[in-house]
Amino acid sequence: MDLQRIAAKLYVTDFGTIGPGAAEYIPIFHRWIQSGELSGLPLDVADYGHVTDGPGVMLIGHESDRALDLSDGRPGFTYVRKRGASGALRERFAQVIAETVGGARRLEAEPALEGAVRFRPDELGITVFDRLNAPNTRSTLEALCDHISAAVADVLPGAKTSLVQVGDERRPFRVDVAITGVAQPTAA
Amino acid sequence: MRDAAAWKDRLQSEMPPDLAEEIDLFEAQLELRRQEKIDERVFAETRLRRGMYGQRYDNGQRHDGIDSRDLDYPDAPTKGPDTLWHAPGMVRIKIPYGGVTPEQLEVLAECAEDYSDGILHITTRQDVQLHYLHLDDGPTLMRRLAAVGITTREACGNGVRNITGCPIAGVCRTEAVDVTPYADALFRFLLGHPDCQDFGRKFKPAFSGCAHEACGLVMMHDLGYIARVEEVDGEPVRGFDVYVGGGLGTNPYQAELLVEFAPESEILPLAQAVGRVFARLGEKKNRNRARVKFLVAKLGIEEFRRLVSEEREVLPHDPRWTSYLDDLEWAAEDAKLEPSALDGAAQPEGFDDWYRTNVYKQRQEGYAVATIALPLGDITSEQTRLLADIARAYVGESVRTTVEQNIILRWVSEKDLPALYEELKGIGLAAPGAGTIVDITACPGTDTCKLGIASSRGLAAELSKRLAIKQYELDESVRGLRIKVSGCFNSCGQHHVADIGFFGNTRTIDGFTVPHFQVVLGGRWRENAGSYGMPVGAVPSKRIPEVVDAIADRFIAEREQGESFQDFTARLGKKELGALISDFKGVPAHTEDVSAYVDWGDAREFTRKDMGIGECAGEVVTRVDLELSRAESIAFEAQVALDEGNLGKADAKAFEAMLWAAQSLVRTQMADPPEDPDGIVTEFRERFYDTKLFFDRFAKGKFARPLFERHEFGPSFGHERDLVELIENTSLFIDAAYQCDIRMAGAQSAAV
Repeated sequence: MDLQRIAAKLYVTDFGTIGPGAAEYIPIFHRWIQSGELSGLPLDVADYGHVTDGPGVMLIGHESDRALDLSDGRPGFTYVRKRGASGALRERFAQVIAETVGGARRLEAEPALEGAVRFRPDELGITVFDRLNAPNTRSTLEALCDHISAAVADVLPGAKTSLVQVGDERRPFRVDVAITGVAQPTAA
Repeated sequence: MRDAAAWKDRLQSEMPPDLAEEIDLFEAQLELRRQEKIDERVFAETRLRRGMYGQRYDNGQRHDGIDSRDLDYPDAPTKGPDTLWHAPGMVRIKIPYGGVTPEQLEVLAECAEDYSDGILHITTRQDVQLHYLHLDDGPTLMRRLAAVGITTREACGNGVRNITGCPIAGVCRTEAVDVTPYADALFRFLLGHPDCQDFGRKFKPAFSGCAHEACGLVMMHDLGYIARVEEVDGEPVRGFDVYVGGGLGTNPYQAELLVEFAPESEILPLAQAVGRVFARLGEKKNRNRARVKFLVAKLGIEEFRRLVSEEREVLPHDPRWTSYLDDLEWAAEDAKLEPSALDGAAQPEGFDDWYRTNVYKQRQEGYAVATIALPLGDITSEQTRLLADIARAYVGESVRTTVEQNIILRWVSEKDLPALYEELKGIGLAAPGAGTIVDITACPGTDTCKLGIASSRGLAAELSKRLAIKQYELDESVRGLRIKVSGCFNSCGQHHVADIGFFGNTRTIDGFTVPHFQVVLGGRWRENAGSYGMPVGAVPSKRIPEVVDAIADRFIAEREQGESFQDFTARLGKKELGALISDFKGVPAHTEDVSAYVDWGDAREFTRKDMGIGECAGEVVTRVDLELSRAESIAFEAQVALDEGNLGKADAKAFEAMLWAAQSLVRTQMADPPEDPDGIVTEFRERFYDTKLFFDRFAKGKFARPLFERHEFGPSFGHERDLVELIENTSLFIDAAYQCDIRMAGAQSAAV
């Protein structure tokens, strides 16, 4: 299965720490671009904070997007790999999860946020945007769950996972991953 | 690539054959451009005519707030002049008269999620746009849309754009006629029409059911129809006042009356005749003077009318002109639920405010239209999917987009309005204030547009946020005003027809470039965009909220009894209004406060260095170039068929490619070239072979012979090597056609 468009999301512990519309993340993401330290080719910042439960503030890139994501009414940090993924499925999921954890860690350390934003250690959302190869069905879950669990453990050593499929077949494949055995996913 | 083929197989039987063929051709052109076998200018126009547009920074440069940086995309050919292949772009999706079904909404949502950033953007001409899209995803996206009857064809480029129409057509209390079936017929008739392929610039039609409301904004369109009913011999007869030559931009023109009360049977041929006159006489070299409004102004409406009439007389009859009139009833929608009245039960919190601004009582008793006010025209994929469910439950199929970047649900049974409101509220789509001062229209501006100068969306978001807080404290006369914002003078935000309009520009202050907005006051939205506002001066972007407050305060304080905002601004005049905003022209020194030098919604200090060359008008590429490019794509399909062992298809495609190329040359001498192989070959032989126009200096007429032989002797694919030769000769024939066109163009310019 040649999956390319894979997303992972870590949720903030306290929604109240994210201001309305998440506008404070606009300068942060611009600074991230200026720093030249991100993987891939970051391009621009897109502000969708005006849309209810939307993608929030996005850092659009060529291979991947990052976002202070407001979807589902649960703010979090999302990394979406869009193209150029290679290797086994486990490696692809691991790369996405590692970038998500890395981005969340970067936000927690962001001076402008003064340590106010923390991410939950016990939950991760995984979405695959590929309705052709990975529809949101039981059989896709069966095909992918081991790869996802292994990928989580690769990034977060010691993690034990349990996966719950979310949504119906009209939606992209998505699982919520409950994680135990990890104190803080963003702790290096 | 594998997925693209799999999607194609899966959807093949669901796509209308004509759309499927167009997408196959585009896919072939993509491959040819990847191999650099198509000129980048020709490919750019081809791409635009499939709705795939460039986006800001696609030249590989972006100012990050410190310096201009190279964006190091992977190596690939360009997808247009100075436009990098891998740079994200935008796709514009045509939604004729805004009509969209729940099923289509679902597929649009899926495409936004799978190829874009999960946001659907409704435009000021009722299209849907997806941004940050990769060109390689184009064909698959188009197939998924085509499978539910949606096309992106000619959504951009120098062709007939989306046809806008009154979103409440058919349910409006004051319309003369439901324009839906007429707009639909014109859309189908003009899509890919041969007479509309050689325009110097874009061409935007619109339909309105009445003259007095804003409706389809006919007066600002290239071609517009306003429906009327007249009594003829005691019987009501439907017809249209036909307008031509309207348009916004730097030189806004009001459309002029071309034909008074054209019978319904004439509206399609009239459009065709206008198209022919525009194609023949419109400016082709200077893009800034190439819209039909300039041609009408140059010739005068009398002469333009005479030319159109003359052209109409000689048009070969087309049964499609009137065949649709046999069934206009398809547009008469059936309500999903029984009519009812709002009962006296307690309403949910917020319902009354929403009801006051977002609900319109239909002329059909017991039904209403509910407007979903979208912030900046944006809606997420998930909201769109849930909205499709809500639409199915309450109204069935009856959903439309609007030119105010909103979505409406028609045929809501009135007693269901509170429940509908609750459901919309549950998905964040129940904002009140539709059509009021908080419902601000804005083009994409500097967010994604290459031409954007200032942040129209940033300003609109800021104004909307500030005004929403105090909307119920505002005087009723101010609440009803409309604000529209464009990122530059090209007017995609339609600022000319707003009560309070803005368009982006800049000023240099103490050596620093400061984003500004020109203030345009008193445009008339009603009466089909009945008059344009007056520019009164430019103000720094960050001070625009103060300007809005000052204008509102002055209007409340000095408005005469019953005076409209248009009359008020006209009474005050440009000088007085200029003085009113003059207090807001200053900004703090750069050393004191840098925020004025940063645009709304951005964190970088302002620069104009990210502006690019616009694609909105497309490249000026001749029709022959485009048709020869199409011939090349068909020849490419022949090669693919041969590689797959499908010899019959390979032969047919090679012959078709030569016929396209021959016909494109014939068309340079003949407005209506034959469509059949016999006719094309005969005309080509007489006009280009016998006259030796086609002859190469060294090869003479050699390259034409494969066409004649294939035509005369029919298919010959007993041996694969014959077909290899035929396809090679097809390519040589197309090359020779290109050379012939270049020689003819050279001879023409030498003659001039």
